[in-house]
Amino acid sequence: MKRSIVAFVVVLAVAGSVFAAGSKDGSSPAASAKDGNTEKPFAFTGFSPFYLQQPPKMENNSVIKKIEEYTNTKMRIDYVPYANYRDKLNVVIASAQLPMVTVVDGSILKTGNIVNAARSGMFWDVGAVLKNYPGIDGFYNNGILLANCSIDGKLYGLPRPRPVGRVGLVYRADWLKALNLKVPTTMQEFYETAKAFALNDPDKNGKNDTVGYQFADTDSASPSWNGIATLICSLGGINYWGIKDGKAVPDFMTAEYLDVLSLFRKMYQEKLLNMDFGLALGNKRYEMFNKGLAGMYFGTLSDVPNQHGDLYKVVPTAELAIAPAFTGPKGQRTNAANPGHNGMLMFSKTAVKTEADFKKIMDFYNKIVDPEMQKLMTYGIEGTHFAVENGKPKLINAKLLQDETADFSNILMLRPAVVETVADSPIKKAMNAAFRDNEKYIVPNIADALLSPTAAERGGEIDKIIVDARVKFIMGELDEAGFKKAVAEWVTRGGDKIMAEYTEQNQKYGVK
Amino acid sequence: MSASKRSQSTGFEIFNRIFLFMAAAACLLPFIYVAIASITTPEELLVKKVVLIPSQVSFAAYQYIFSTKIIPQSLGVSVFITVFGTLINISMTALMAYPLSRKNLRGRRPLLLMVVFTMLFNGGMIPTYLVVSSLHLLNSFWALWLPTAISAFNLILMRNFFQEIPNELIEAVKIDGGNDWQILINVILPLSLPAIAAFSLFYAVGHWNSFFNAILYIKDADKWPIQVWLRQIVLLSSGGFSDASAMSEVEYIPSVTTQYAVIIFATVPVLMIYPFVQKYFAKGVLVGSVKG
Repeated sequence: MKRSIVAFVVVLAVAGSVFAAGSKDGSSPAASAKDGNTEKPFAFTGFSPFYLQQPPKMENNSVIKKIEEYTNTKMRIDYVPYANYRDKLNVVIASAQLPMVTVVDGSILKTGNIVNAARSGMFWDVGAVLKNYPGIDGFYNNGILLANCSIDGKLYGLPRPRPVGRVGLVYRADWLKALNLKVPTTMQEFYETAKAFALNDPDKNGKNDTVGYQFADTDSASPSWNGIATLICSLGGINYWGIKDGKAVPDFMTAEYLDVLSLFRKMYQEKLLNMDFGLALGNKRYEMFNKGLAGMYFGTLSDVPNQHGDLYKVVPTAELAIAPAFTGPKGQRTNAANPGHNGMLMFSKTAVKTEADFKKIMDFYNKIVDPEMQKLMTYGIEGTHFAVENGKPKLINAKLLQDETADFSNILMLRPAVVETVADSPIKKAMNAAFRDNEKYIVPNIADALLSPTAAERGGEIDKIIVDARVKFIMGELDEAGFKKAVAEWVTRGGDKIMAEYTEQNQKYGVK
Repeated sequence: MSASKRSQSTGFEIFNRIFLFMAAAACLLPFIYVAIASITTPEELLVKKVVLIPSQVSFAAYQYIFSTKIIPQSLGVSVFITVFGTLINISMTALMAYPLSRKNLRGRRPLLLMVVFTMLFNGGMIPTYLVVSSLHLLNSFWALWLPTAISAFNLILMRNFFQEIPNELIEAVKIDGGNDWQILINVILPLSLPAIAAFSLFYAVGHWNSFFNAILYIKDADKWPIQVWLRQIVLLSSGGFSDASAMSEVEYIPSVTTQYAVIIFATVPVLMIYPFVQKYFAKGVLVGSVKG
């Protein structure tokens, strides 16, 4: 971890060319600030979660000061620890005390509270004015992203983009070399690699102590990060929800789903995957991998550069790599798509009362996407956070930059989903390459763009039936008939309604 | 015969000591482990499952905690909230428990039923928030103190304790011309010191451990108690949040040892209070359980 941070030298590919221009043309922010000085700074309030140890300080924060100068604003942001963010947001919505800008993250964007608030006109309709802001509009060149963020076909905020092809197979490249294998690109090859990793002693310690595939059934926390969807798509199946005969159906009603589960069941019997997969939730999902005991996992590729510091401490020679999008039986390549966003920034009508104020906020975000501002938020200020070496910026105080900007950027997070930097570490380059490559082969989850009140209300509860049955099926405690019985139970306990609602919504708002 | 009897009893004695020692160790070891883990290097903790004697002592975790002033500062906030909160709790609870303990109070039963009602039903988070907000208590410590000023359960216990004080004592004060305030302050409270100490501890631990109300009602991060930060660091160092990785280019995930160091830092003050009030505590728990 530390090593990679010390060596952390980044150049935004987007800003790369601008960088030279920016330093030559240093007077431009000052000029715009001068123009703005005739006007009083626009004061706005915000509500945002923070993920790090503490929220960024707002006083004496040089980066914030620069942003405020450039945009002629004064910000006041209330931060809540992420663990309690949901509760607090619900309370604030119920008491109609929303500040002007609210971060609504992906996990709650489609919940009843937010949807009802949006439908009742609590938020400004951003979609209607988006075309007036070419700077912002340019970020959302992705139709899936806009469709997935919309509620009843309307866009009630500024989406926060994330990679769409975000999930992939991560493997130990050093093990692959040691056993002289080739990179797995199909489900069959995946199985064979797992078998070799588990049985052929890839770490050459003479002990049979490795598992081929670290499986973490993390479905409820982070859908599609467990690889099941990726494999189903590789067989030509659907990504969570798809259309069959004009009707919306969930993946677990399809034959491909059972094919994948049967493979996992076989791998479980042959001890190719970790025996505790049903319990390997949350922080446990990388445990075996980071101890150098597992060879592969499916997960969000965003974690690859920064969740395996422990692995390098235990196995200094470890090498990681990302497998390309899988190829199916008919030769087609696929990647199960993620929603492509992590919620939106939404603007409350109770706090932003007039059209003029709404325009000011949109102007603010339109300025935030200026290369000048993007550069500031990536590197900080020259001399304070970074220095220029060989014409490239090099961070000299990464800790300060993080303290001043990291969580702050949640509410200013208008940047492309894939941020490429010239001097990325090799693994980060691989990650970005995979993001870009995967995006070509994505299979969207149709439900990402749709709303089902029943799913919002009861979905999590009845999905547990399926997750339980799945775990039992893989462990061999349930046969195919037993699994189908669980599916039937899901249908009677509200699943039929969810299917009907998605079918109806898909006809109206679905991605065509 | 007597010799064998003695050996039997020493055998029992030895067994007893070993058994008790193991019971004590089972309680103490986790805590000792946390304390030691907080001064171990993260690498050692990762490779070995359990570390009792670290090969290398490292105070990096404590350095991390003290790298910003927010943790020591929030410790001060916690102490302030706890001390004043407990004072408010005890005075409010005693002021309500005393009248309810007098048999000649009119409407005593309906009042008591209303108290019991709140133990079974409450308005929930959002209505409570609305009340606090409309009283303009948001962003002030009063929002943490007033809504929880009286715990119905403790109130009933304290009332029972007061009831057990002989009525003759109270009559004696009345004959001497004392009013209810004098009865409460000069007779009831001094006689109830063990109970007061026990309730103080109940209330104080409650204040010390609470974090959710602070997040809900208080906006300024520098007015949050230490438990908020403790929780955040524990969650962060045990894998972080699903989106954390995508949010920033720079990542400092605090090590597991930091987690342990913060736990030590937040528990030690409470541990230091316990020995002094423990004797009252044991007595106080029996309050109301035995009728004389």
